[in-house]
Amino acid sequence: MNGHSSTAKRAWTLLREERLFLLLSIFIGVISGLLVVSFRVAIEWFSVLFLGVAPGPHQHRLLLAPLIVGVAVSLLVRFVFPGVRGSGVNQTKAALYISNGYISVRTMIGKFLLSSLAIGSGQSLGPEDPSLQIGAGVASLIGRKAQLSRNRMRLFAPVGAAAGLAAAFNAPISAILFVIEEVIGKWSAGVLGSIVLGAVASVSVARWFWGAEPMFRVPTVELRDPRELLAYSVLGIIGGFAALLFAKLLAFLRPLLQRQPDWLRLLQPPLAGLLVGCIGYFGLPQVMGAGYGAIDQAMHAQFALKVLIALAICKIIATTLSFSSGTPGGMFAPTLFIGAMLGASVGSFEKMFFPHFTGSVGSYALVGMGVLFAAFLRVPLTSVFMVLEVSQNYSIILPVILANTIAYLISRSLQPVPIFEQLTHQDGLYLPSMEEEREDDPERIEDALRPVALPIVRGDEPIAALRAQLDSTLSAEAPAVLIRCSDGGWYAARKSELDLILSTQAETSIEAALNADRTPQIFPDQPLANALPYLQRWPVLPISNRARRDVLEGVVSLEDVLHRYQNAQH
Amino acid sequence: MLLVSTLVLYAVTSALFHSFTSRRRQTAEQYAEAGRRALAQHRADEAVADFRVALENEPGTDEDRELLADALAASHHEEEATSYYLALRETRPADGRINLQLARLYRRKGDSTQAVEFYRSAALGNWDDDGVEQRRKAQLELCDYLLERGDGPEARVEILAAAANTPETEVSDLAFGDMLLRADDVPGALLFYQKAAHLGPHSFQSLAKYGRLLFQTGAYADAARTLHEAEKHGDRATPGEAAVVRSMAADADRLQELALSPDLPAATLDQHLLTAGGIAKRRAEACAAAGGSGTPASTAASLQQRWHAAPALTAGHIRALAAPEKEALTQLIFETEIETARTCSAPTGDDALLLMLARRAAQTGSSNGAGAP
Repeated sequence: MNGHSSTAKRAWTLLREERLFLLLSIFIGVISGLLVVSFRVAIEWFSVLFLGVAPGPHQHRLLLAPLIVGVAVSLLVRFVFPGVRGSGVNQTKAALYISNGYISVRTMIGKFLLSSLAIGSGQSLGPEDPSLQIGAGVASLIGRKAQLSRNRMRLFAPVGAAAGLAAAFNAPISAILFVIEEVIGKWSAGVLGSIVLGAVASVSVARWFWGAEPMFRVPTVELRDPRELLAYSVLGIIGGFAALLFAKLLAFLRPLLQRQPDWLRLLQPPLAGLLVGCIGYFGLPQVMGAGYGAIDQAMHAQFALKVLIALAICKIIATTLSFSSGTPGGMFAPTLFIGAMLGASVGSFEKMFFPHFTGSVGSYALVGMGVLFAAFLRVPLTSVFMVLEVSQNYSIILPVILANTIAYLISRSLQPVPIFEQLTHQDGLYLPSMEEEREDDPERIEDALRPVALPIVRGDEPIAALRAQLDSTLSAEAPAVLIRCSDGGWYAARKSELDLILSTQAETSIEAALNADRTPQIFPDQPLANALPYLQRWPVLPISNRARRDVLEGVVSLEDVLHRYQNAQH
Repeated sequence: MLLVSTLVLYAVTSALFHSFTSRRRQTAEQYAEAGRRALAQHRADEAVADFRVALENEPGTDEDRELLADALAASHHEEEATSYYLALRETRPADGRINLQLARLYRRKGDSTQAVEFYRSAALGNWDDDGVEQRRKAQLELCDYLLERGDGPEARVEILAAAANTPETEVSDLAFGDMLLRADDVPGALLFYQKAAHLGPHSFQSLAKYGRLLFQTGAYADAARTLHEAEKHGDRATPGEAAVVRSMAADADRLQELALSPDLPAATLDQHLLTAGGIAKRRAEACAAAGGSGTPASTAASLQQRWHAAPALTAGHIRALAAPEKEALTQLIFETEIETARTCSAPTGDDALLLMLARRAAQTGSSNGAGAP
């Protein structure tokens, strides 16, 4: 009676925590949404304050603003908010895997303040990744206040991350997919519902303020000539190599700057800002800040081919400088910027030399954004949905899938270590690689399976029959007997257990002498690791056919499993 | 506690957001106004820059987006303007103005299929004010485009459709007549000019156009009457136009005196043969005497021989000729003018008029040189 009551109480507590978890996910979404809206507004305010309403070449403030603000940001990062360097994605992952999802309030505030100052002053960085970390910070804070268990706290950070990113992109599906692809690495039913709730809540808040308009508007794409897919394939190839160049530059410059003495590191953000400002001052102010205005202009074919190529190259340089200097800010927006410019370049080239193709420059720019996203950040699924969501234009789907896949494959083959992993290694951390985890092919039961060489008896027969069968067939080495029970289940009996059974009355049925439990139902396609917990209790595990449970595919023992793992290691 | 925190954060965010959006709106209005002024003063590049800032600050305004597209089109940023208009068309597919602008852009880019498609959409689309007139203008612009491309038959269909949708006035009939003439539909054009002349019996323009086309079709009597009527109302015409009409009227009068139609009364035909024969014979002799730079001697000699062999050009001789002989003489007159125009100097005066009759006769296969309208 007491046991029953405590089980019920535990189940009730669990259910209550589940519900609380879901409710808190909504709050995380709402608060993250509000913070992200404030964050974006802060960036815009700072941008107007530092760079003016219409920044243009040869305006001195383009040089001064990133330099002066860079000094302030550098000092604040060094002395007040040391945990806010970087984009926010790796920091969130680190919090998840190293400190059980803990992100301090100071880091959250620092990320908000310093990222908005840096981006507003013209550093070539974006607001999305910081939004992700701000969301994760909100989740961490709420989780701590609600005194959730360590396990729950670990689940909470991805909820906040998805909420923050969803609000920043106005794209709930992409945010959910990104968190699954890059932060937690797998589909987990336990957390998926909360992530969805959080993302939906945050996007609803963001849309309450910004409206439901898509981030980018391009006309419907009519793919009349399938040959045009070749042009999109070319875009995929160019995007793959551009992503490689971008990653290589970051991989070279960031550790180089990190190795410098402290006083020199303190100068890096203002110097990076000055160099980015120089690019703006001498003709390309579009590369400063997140650059969404320029992306929109590229989509509407405002830039000439040469300008588009120059913008893409300068943005790669500017973002490498800004990010490597340790200035807080994200890489999503610059990646989209570079992709849009490359896409628009291919589109403009096509318009010049193949005017009969129907794709607009805008459609190429849009596909280009997805291409860089897939190749540089290595999130192929997110990249496809991101393009669909930011444009709310489904007609682009075929070119997006094709070009993204090509770019992703090129990037993967030429740069085996993804950018986020490279960055964590540079920081001395070794977090799980989500790309590797996704592709990890676990050993399965069928790999360790061996044919049934054990005696099989029916459970409803009398013990005398068992004795007779054992006398006739069982060799002295046979470790166990498989008993097919009348309820359809199996029972693997050890030799010691058999001796006990055989000592009871001969007329009794075998089943009556067995324990109440049965060997678990296991099938050949299940992971091999699933068998391990049962092999302490059972000498062997019968492996059933999925179509006919009474038919055995084979058996596995502990030795078989270990043998398989050892062989696989070699 | 969580709820209170959320509400406080909402209040702060709202305050921040609203102050931000109101400032942006203000900036957007300021720059949009500057853009409108620049556009009105044909400073398209400035307008583009202003509208860009306006839209960056208030991206949702379709009106500014449309004005930016107009400015881009005016500053020859065809691709970008097209892209903006197409994006606007996504939400307003039946908007006549957007479709018309797209048609013009595709026309500039040389994409005739798209241009015609958008012109048709504009001609059927919704317009904010005076829809009937705007639709008609779009249709006429389409006709003009088709004519420019040399697609006469297609243009003719569109012109007639536009005419059917247009209330009949002298001006519209003249415009349709002009377009049909460009589409090589001379009978159609003549019909519209006639209607215009009927609606504006004192209008120099209508009478002149009608008379000139009658003249070109060989209906010299009607042409002369109409052109003289036009002359009477030529006080509003430019001196050049009036001179042309006067000259053409005189030519029409003279052509009636030179006409060699077998349908003419016998005495009149004889008189005309006598006059025209004399002119043609003198032309042949003059041509032979000049030697004609590069003139094949055989042609001039042959013509002279034929004139020697021809009946004497006196009233009595001509009156005595039978109908086939008169026909042969007419042929000789025409061939003389055609051959000498080819081998000697360009004809002037009566020779030019006779050449006109000869060519018309060759075209129509008749011998009289005067075609019916």
